[in-house]
Amino acid sequence: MLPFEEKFRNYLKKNAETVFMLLVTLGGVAGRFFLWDIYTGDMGAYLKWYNRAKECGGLPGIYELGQRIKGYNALFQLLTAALTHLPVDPQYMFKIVWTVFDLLLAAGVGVLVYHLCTDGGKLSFRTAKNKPLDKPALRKAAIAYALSFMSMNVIFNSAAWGQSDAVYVSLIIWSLVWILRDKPLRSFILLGLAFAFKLQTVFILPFFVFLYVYKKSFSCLYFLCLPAMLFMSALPRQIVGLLSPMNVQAAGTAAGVAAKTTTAQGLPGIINVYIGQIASGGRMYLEYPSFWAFFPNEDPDVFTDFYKFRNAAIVLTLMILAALVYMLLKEERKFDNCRLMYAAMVLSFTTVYFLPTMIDRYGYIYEILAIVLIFLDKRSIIPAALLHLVMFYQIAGRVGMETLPVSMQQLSFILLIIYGMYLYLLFGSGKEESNAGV
Amino acid sequence: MPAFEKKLLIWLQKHMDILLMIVLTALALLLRYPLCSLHADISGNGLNKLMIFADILLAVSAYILVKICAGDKTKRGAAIAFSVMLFSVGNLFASAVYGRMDALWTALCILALVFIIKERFLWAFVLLSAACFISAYALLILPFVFFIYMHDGKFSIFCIAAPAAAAFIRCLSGIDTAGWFPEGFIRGQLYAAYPSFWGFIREDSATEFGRYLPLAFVMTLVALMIFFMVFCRKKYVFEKDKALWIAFLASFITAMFMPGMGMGAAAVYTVLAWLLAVSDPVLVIPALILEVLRIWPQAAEIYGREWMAFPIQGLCWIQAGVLFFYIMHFYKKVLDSRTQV
Repeated sequence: MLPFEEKFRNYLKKNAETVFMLLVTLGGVAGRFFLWDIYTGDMGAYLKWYNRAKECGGLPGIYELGQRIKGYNALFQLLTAALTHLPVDPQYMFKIVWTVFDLLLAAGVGVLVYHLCTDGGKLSFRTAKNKPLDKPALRKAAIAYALSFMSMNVIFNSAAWGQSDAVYVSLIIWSLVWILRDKPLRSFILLGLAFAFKLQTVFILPFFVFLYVYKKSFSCLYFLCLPAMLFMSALPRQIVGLLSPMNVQAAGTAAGVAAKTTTAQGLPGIINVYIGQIASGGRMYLEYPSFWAFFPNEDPDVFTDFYKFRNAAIVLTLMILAALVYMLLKEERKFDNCRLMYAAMVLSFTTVYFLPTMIDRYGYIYEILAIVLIFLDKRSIIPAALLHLVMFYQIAGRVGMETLPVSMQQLSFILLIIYGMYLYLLFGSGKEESNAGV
Repeated sequence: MPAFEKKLLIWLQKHMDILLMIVLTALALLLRYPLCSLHADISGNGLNKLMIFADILLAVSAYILVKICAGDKTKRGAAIAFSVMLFSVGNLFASAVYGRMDALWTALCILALVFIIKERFLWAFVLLSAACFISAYALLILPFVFFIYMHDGKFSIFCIAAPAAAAFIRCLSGIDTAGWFPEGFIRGQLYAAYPSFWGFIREDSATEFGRYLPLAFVMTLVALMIFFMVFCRKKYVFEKDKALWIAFLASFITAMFMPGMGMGAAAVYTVLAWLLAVSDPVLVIPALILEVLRIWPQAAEIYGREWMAFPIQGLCWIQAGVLFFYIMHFYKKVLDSRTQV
C-alpha cells in the first residue's frame, strides 16, 4: 500500500459518517438533477403561477399576484414571486428549491434520530466542536439522513413530480426536534411556518395536542403561533399592497387603501384559501388509498350527498383521534422516545387514512416518521418498508411509470394492515419487550 | 481379509469425499451432455459443450472455498458444496442449455475469494481480472473487495482498478458472447430479465433509461454504504466464515439496485447462497428460491407455459423478501456470534 493511501484510508475510517453523508448529498443531488426535466401536470400549475408572478413584476407586484392567484397561500406566492428574479429556468428553479428542502428534511431526520437515540443528545456543529459525539448514535443519524434523502418517495415527490411536500414536512420535523428539546416557542414558530405553507400540517396537530396534555410543559397559547404565522406570512404582500402607488391612486385615501387590502386576498382572503382547499375534491377518496376507498366512489355529478358524507367522515376521524389520545393518556407505562414517535406516527397516519378527499402525497409526514422509527425499534422495519413500497407505487404512476396492477381498494386493504401493525407496535408491547433499533 | 484389501478399504474410507466427487462428476457430465443439443437455437455456437467443464471447475472452486472457510470442521460440507454446484439447476440451465459463460467467470470469482481469504492478493486480482474480462457481471464482487481493502488495508486501491480495466478492455475488444455484459445496458432498459429493485416500476423505454441511470447508481452505492456501516463495524474481528456472508450480501445488494441487470447478475451470489446453506440448513429454502428466481424469467421465455407467466413485480417482491430474510438472519445469527475486539 502506498503511503498516501494509508493516510487516506485512516481518514476515511475516522470520518466515515461525515464522508458518507457528503457522498450521499452529492450523489442524491446528482441523481435528482437528471429528473428535473420531467414535466407533470402539477408542475405545469406551478409554472402557470410563475408566469403570472412574472407578469406582475415579481416581488414588487406580489399584491397584484395575490389578487390573481386565489387558490394558494401567501408564503407560496412570496416564494414564487422571489424566484422570478433569478435567471434560471423556472421548472429547474422550483425543483432546486424543493431539493434544498429535501436536504433540510434529511438533516432534520438525522438530528431527530440522534436526539432520540441519545436520550436528548444534541447534534449540531457547536456541540460537535466542544465534546465528542456518541459514535453509534451518529452512525444511526447518518444512515437516517441517507434513507430520508435517498428515499424514492422523497426523490420522486420533489425531483420528478415537482411537488413541494418536503417544505412543510421538513419544518414539521425540525419542529418535533425542538419540542422534544423542550423549546416550545421555536417548535411552534416552525410549525406555524409549515402551516402557513401548507394546510396539510394539521395532520401532525393531534400529536402536539397529545404532547400538550401528556407533558404539561408548555402552554396552549403556543398553538396560536399557527394562525399568527399564517397572518405574518401574508404581511409582506399586504405591506406591498399598502405602499403600491397604484393602490393609493385608485383608493384616494389611506383609509381607502386599508379597506381595499382587507378584502379579497386580504385577511379574510387568507382564510378563504384554506377553506377552499378543504371544500375541494368532490369525492370521498382521491388518489390516496384511504379507508373510504373500501366504499364505492360516486360520480360527484350524481353523488349529491357528498358533503354530508364528507362531514361525517371528518367527525369520525376526530372521534378516532380522540379515542386514541384517550387510550394513550390512560396508559400506565411511561412514554419513552420510541413510543412517543410511534404516537406521532399513528396519530398522523390515522388522520390521513380516515379523512376524506386525501391525495397520495399527504402521507409524506408519516412516511418520514416511519424512517425515524426503524432506528428506535427494529420491528418497525417491515411495516416501514411495506409502507414506502406501497406509496411509491402511487407516486410512480404520477410521473408516468408503470405501477402495481392492483385496485385502490386492495391498496387500501394493504394500508389497513400496515396501520394495524403500527397500532400493535404502539399499544401491543412494553419497553422491555421492544427491540432496539437498527 | 487380505492385507491389500484392508489397505484399499482404509484408503477408500480416508478419501471417500474424493471418490464421491469423481463419481458425481461423471454423472454430471452424463446428465449435461444430452442437454447441450436441447435448444440449439439458443446455444447455437456450441459454447455450451465447453461450459459443462466450467461447471466442474465451479464445483471444485466451491469445494476449496468451503473447506477454507469451514477450516478443519468438515470435509463433508465441502463435498456437499461440490455436489450442489454440479447439480444446481441454475448452473445446468445457464451452461448446458443457454450456453452462457456464467460458470466460468463465477468459478474464477470463487477462486479469487479463496486467495483473498488466504491473503494472496496478487493471484486474487489476476483471477478477478480474468473473470471481469469474461463477463462484466464479475464486477459485482468488487464491493466486497473494497470492503476488504478498508478493513485490512493489505493491498493498494489501484489493484481494484485492474478488474475494472479488464472489463473495459473487453468492451473495446468487440468480442461478443452470451451474457458478457448486462443485457439491459445494451438495450437501454432500467431493468432486464432480472427481478431487481427496478422491476418494481418497470421503466422499459430506452429514452427514459438514461434519466434514471445516475439515480440507480447512486442508490446502489448508498445501499452498499449503509450495509457496510450497519453490519461491518471496526470492533468486530473479521473471521473467514463471515467473509462468505459479506461477499454474498454485498453482491446481492449490488445486483438488486444496479440498473440493467440480466440473468448473469444472480450467478455469483446464488453460488454463495448455496455455500452458506451447506453450514446452515435454514438457508436451504432461500437458496432454492434464489436458484429458481435466477432462471425463471428466461425459462418462462423459452418454454412459455401459462403457469410460468408470473408478473415481474411478483418476482421482485419475492427476491426482496429473500434479501430481507438474509439480512435479518445475518444480523441476528451471525453478528451475535462474532468476536468483539
